[in-house]
Amino acid sequence: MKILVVDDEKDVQVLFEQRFRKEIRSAEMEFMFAFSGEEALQFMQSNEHEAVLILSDINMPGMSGLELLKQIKEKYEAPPPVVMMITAYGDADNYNQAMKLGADDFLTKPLDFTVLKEKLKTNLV
Amino acid sequence: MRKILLLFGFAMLCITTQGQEQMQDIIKYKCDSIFSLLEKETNSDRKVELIINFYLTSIDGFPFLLLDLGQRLLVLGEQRKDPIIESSAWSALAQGHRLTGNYVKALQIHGKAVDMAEKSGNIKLMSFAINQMAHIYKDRLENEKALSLYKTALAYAEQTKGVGMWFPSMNLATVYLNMGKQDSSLHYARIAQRQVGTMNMLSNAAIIASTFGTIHSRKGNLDSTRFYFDESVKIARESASPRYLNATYVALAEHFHLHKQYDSAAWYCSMAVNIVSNTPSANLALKPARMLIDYYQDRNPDSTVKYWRVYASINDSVNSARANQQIQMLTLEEEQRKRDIEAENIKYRNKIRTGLLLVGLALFLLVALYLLRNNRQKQKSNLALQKTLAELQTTQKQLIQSEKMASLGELTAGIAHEIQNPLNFVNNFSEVNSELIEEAHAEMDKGNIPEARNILHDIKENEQKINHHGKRADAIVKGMLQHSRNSTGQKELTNINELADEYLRLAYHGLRARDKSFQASVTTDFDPSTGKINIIPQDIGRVLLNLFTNAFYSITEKSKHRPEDYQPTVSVSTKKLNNTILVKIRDNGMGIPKEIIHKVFQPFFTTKPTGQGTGLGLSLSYDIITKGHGGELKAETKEGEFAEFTIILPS
Repeated sequence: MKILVVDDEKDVQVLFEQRFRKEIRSAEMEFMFAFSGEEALQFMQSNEHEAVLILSDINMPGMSGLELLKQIKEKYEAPPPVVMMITAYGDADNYNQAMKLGADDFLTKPLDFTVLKEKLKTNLV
Repeated sequence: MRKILLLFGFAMLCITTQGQEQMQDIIKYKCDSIFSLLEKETNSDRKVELIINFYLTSIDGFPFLLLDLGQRLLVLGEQRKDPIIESSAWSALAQGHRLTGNYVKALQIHGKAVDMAEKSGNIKLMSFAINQMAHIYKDRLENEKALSLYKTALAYAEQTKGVGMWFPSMNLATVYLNMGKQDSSLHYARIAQRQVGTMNMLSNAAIIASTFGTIHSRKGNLDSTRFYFDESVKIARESASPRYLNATYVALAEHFHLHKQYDSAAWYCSMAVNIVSNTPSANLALKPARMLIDYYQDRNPDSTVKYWRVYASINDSVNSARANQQIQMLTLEEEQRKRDIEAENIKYRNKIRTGLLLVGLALFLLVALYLLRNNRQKQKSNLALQKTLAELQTTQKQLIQSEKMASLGELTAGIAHEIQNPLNFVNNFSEVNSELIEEAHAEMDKGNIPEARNILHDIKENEQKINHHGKRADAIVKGMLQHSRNSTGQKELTNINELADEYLRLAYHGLRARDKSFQASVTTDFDPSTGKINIIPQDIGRVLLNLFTNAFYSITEKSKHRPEDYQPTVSVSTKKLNNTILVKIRDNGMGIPKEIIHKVFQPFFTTKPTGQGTGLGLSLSYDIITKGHGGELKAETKEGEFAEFTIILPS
């Protein structure tokens, strides 16, 4: 199962690759990276129908994470991708908006990778 | 011959006695009308004119009339407390006493008249009073004293015009005649005659005429002598005054005596004696009586005795030793009084001079004090102004600082967010490295060196990430400190695109952190050809931050009212144009109303609610761009649609 990480911080890729190096090595998880909402949508287009779990930052220049969430949930119904939102601003408004748009989960920075790993594993099963 | 003469004399006497009464009635009548005019008159000079008019009625010829007039004037003067009338009263009384031969009393009273005249301050009156007083000395042949007084009177008279001002001249002519100085006498007699002019009916003219007669007699001009004496006799007869007749006869007698016609001289002398006998002016018989004594001495003892008696009785009363002494004393007193007055005057003048000097000095001091006080106040207010200026400057600095701190507050949340990301990386990579080190140990224990090497490589890469993000956080903190610190004013080559991007993010996250519902799309369009330009980065950063904050504020406000279809957008773009760099910050917020667009760069102007803005942001921004960088800051807006601020900087 492919996991798409969307964040404007490029080092997120290195970090995820390090954090999940065992899972990647064992092919338990496969990570893809996009550095903006637009890039993420392109990826979705070229990888249609692949079961995808999306981890997206909300605050990004250009298309925001919430906009991305909205579009994904509108366009891709089969199979519906799991979308988990990540934000530094863990406020109720953001949370409610994300949930309204169909977010499957809502995580706040700094990420607890142990928790994230558990959640990903749960979702991947 | 003698009988005829005597008869003539008797007839003359009868006629004159009768004429005297008639004349006195006329004079009384004239004086009454003058008196009633005087009672009504208020003007000082006209009063004096009226007083002199009394003497133009020939009242001088009748001492009792003068004494009577003097009494009436005294009553009026004292009643009215009028120094002019009082002085004239004393003059009239004194003249009356003089003409009756009472020189001591006359001189005393003349003194009062002069006093009063001086008190009144009327120059015409002073001339008159002094002139009248001088008669005493004239009569007594104290010529020097008489001259001095008449000249004083003349000096006063010359300052004025009007009737009677020729009196001193006439009298001076008489005195010089008495002194045997014919030429001087002639001089003054002519002046008097010129001034008398048309006043034909004046009895005093008899005196002037007889003066001229005497002068010509002495000079041997017998024709002229006769002419003037005829004139004199005529006028004297018309006046019906024993006094004027006496004076004329005496002058004639002297003339005949001079020319050795002793019989004629004696005849006129006896006429002169007779005309005044049994009249108040009996004393005027002194001189002719004396001449008759000489004449009869060797001719007729009876007549000699008769005239001796006449002479002696007059001489006793007029020229007694006691009277002489008294006159001298009075004269001395008068002179002393004059000296006192003069001294008093000098003292007074000095006092006035000193007073004026003091007043001048006081005024000068006042002006000086005023100027000094003004100066002091100016200095004081200058000091106050300087103090106020210093306070204002301090306040301005504090305000700028508080504006900075306020914008720092706006930044804080943004900065926190900005730091959060690198810190997360630092923490994460650090944790990952710890794990990797464990794994490397494990691999090494297994002897799997290549794998251990791979892991070590990763550790090194992560270490670089840690370092990178640590530095990133460091730079953000430094930037924040720089922002709050006072500008160093140092320009340095700065990438304007990076600066704009940095502050855009700070502003965005700052607002985002405070208002979590805040959403905005942000677009950037940086012209890569702008390169680095020479600016003070903190200052330009502050301007950018201010413009971004305003833009975000504006779209936030608008989105509150139009939540549905409104897509709040802030865009920033840079562009190189010729030699300038343009930085445009545009928002599609509320825009700025036309009526306040010209105010937005004024200090303390703000549309934000109290407490939310200092009103200094745009004003400071304007100063930074225009004064600090020689650039321009322009605003373009349409109310309700957009606002676009353009920074124009020299590249």
